[in-house]
Amino acid sequence: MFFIRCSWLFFLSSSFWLGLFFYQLSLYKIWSTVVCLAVGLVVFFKHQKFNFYLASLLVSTATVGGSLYGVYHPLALEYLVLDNVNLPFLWLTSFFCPYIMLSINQIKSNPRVYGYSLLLIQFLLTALFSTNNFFCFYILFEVLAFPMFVLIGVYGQQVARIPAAYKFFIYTFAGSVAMLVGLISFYFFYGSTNCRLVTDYQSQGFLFFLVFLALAVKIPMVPVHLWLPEAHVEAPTGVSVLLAALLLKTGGYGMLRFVWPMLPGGVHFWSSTLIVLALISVIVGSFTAIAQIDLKKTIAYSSVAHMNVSLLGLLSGVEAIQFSVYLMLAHAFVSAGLFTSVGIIYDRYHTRSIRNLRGLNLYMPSLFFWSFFLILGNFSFPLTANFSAELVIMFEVTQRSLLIGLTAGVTVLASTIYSMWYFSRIFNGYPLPIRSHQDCSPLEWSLLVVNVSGMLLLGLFGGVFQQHSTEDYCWLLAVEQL
Amino acid sequence: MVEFFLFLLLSYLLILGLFVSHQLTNQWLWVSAGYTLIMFNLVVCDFKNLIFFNLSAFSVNWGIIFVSSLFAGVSFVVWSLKSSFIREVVVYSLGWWSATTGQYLLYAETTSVYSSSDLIYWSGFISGGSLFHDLRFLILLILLLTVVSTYQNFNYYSYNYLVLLLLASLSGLLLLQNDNLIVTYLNLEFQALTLYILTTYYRFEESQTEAGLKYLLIGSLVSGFFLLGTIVIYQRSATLNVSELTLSSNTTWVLATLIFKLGAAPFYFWTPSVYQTLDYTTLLFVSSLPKVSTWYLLLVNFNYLQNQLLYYSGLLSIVIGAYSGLYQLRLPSIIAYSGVLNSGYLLLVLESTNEHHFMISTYLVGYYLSLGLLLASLQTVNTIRYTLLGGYLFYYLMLSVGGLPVVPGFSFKIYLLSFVLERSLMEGILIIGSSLCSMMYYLRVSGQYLFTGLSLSNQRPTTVYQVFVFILLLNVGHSLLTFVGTVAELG
Repeated sequence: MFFIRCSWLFFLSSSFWLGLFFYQLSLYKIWSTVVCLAVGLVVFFKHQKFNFYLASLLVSTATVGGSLYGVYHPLALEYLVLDNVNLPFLWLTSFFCPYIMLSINQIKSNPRVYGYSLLLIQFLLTALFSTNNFFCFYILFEVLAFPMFVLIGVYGQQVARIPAAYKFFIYTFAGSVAMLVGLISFYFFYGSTNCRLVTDYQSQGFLFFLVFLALAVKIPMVPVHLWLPEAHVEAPTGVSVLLAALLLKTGGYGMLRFVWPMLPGGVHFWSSTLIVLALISVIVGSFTAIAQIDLKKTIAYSSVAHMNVSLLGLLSGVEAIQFSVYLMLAHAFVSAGLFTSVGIIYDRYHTRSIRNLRGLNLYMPSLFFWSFFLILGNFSFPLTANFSAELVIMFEVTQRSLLIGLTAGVTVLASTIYSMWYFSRIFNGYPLPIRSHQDCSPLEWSLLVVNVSGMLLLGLFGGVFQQHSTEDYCWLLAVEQL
Repeated sequence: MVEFFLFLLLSYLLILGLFVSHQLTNQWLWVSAGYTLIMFNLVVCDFKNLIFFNLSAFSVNWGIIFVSSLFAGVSFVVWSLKSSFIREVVVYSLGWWSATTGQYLLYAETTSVYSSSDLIYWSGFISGGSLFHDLRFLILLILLLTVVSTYQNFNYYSYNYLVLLLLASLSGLLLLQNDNLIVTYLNLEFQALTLYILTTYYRFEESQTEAGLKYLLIGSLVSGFFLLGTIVIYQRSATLNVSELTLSSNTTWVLATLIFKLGAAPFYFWTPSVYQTLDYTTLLFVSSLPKVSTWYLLLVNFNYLQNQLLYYSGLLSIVIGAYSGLYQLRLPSIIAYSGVLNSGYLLLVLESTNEHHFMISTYLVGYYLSLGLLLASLQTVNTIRYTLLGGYLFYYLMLSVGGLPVVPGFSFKIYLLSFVLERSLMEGILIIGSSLCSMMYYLRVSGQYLFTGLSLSNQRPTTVYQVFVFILLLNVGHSLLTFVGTVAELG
């Protein structure tokens, strides 16, 4: 097919231009070669599935390497920003994109388009987490929805994938359009959309409302969260992981990087409303999660609850902001692991309903073992990263008001209920009458181990992360360092 | 005036020649004669410019004449090899097209000659523009796309069809090159007559005959309006030259005609019913060419004649295009309402400043390039095996038509929003709502294509794809350029 042949050419040439662009910025002098090499390898080996993984991994290596070695180049800092605020997000992207690329093995039809879409998303996310211009952020934020629409709508397993894809796109697009209006008005008022140049903060209430709508869809907050469970249920495992681990974080990151420094007046104007909405989201998310019988929906609603706890943290001072980023990272590991385990179960039994599953600990002991750790992380057991993050956020929130602290504390109880319910219904009880069974393959086993170890390491060594980032967060909030 | 009558004489000679040639066995001699005449037309037009130009432009012109005659010679050789009919047409179109394109590319270097406001009537250039702002280039591109999309079903589109296409695009080019109301009227009629025949090309199908008849009746009525408007203008200001018109001239009738030609509200009723009966190739041509030349008239020839009529027509078009499009089940009607919507967008920001010209012509090139590619790929889809990558292409083009980020329409949408938000918030909200609605129906079409596929066939695609990919590259390049420009402006 001529088209397919040409598509290789497009990717080859685009990687070349991309490499040249970064070379011009003197940021990735060596790494640009690596990127070109990576994409070239995909072309050379004619779309072997493994090479997509290799390409993704090499792009990640380039990103991490670039962020380590090119941080202080002045020319690059004109367009990009690299500090302790976005480094965790960049590394998260670099970690999870190759991880997600491994799910290409499960794709039977059109694996190449799947691989290319994921590579595109990796590029977009890397750019999104490193730009310093709100307008560029907006564009990348919106373009992310296009390949996601295809990934959900084409690669889902059931017929209901199509309405789910439409719902995802329309929610995202409605939010983005409001953000566009907000940004244009912003540009009228301040003459720039660069986050380092804006210094005047008067009368930002309406601007904040418009801009925050798009972020609220991605976080997601309660009135606009309905796309999330649908999209999670209908998407294939890899795309679910992508949604939970990376895409939900773009909302929180936008809040942190652009809204706080550029629209602080708006945040202060709306903060009480936002806190109430976040509390409602926490409670609705937690209690809806208890009521679900679909495994993926349970995890999706628990994501709603956890992400809104981190939003509460984003609204309650420097200390809480640090730990809400920390909670986002922890949630990425936990939810990615849980979605992977659901994918493993779905591969074996072709069901995700709690009613049809019981006693799996007999057939799948290693899945049982690693899922247990992930469940502990999901209800913030001590020693996991979620525990330390939620502890500090609750502490800060309670300092602000006891009522808010108590209401947010409901999530601790509710998450224990739905997590244990989920876990014990699947793994405990009288075993299913199944003839053939198979425990995790080495690949699946290693995926789970990676998530669990990430979660535990973050929990044990989170203090390092906190010490390094204080300065940048203080700058973001224009607060004097203690 | 003399030049105009020369042009008219030449073009009617051309028609005569083509009609006579139909009776002859050696048709191709006449077709090449026709092409030579068209080229001669263009050359004469440029010769007019030569008077004002410097010497280097003069030599450039002779270089172009040389190149186009070279292409004509090559085409003649191909003709004498007695290869297949359609191949010659493609070679001819390509030759002609590339000759003229080369001409404009060379002109782009001597942009300064267009800075004089007198010369603006003499080309499709918006002053200070490049290839992507050139409406003549766009017309030739539309012609190329249409001819290329007839390639697959050649028996179906016979000789007459191609001749009609050429005549219509000739009239489109001529419309860009005059400043006289009567000549504009004659050219509009010339264009309309060819389009009536094109829309009823399947004269054995009842629905198409009906739609064509509707188009003919309403179109004739409306050209009567134009003539009436010309008389009224002549009574008021005693001139037929558009550059001498003032705000006091009563131009409502003329503007109503142009609104009809654009298919904007309130005169949009004919578009869905006419478009529905057409095949995709004819739809490509009929939905883009007359609008491009009409936009040029509104932008350049009648640019100081803004009144409330155009503004309210724009608002109404946005509402109708966004809302009615949601309830359409067929792609042609969706395209018709999308045309209504986009006319509305452009009518809202129609002002005579250079910046506006720039944006509007960028948008026109981006929009019609995407729409043309979309329809051309649909026409050939019967012979293409369905692939997801093809679906991705379709999706990209739909997003491009919808004006989402990183496609040419987006920079226009930012511009539109910023312009309108300065004026009033309600209009901004109207545009936001309409773009949401329109995105829903664009998305539904592309989702249909992506998730289910249209048709399955195993025939291998041909050279048509190379042309497609070339034009797609143009589209991508265009979008990247506009995107970089926008970001540089905002950053």
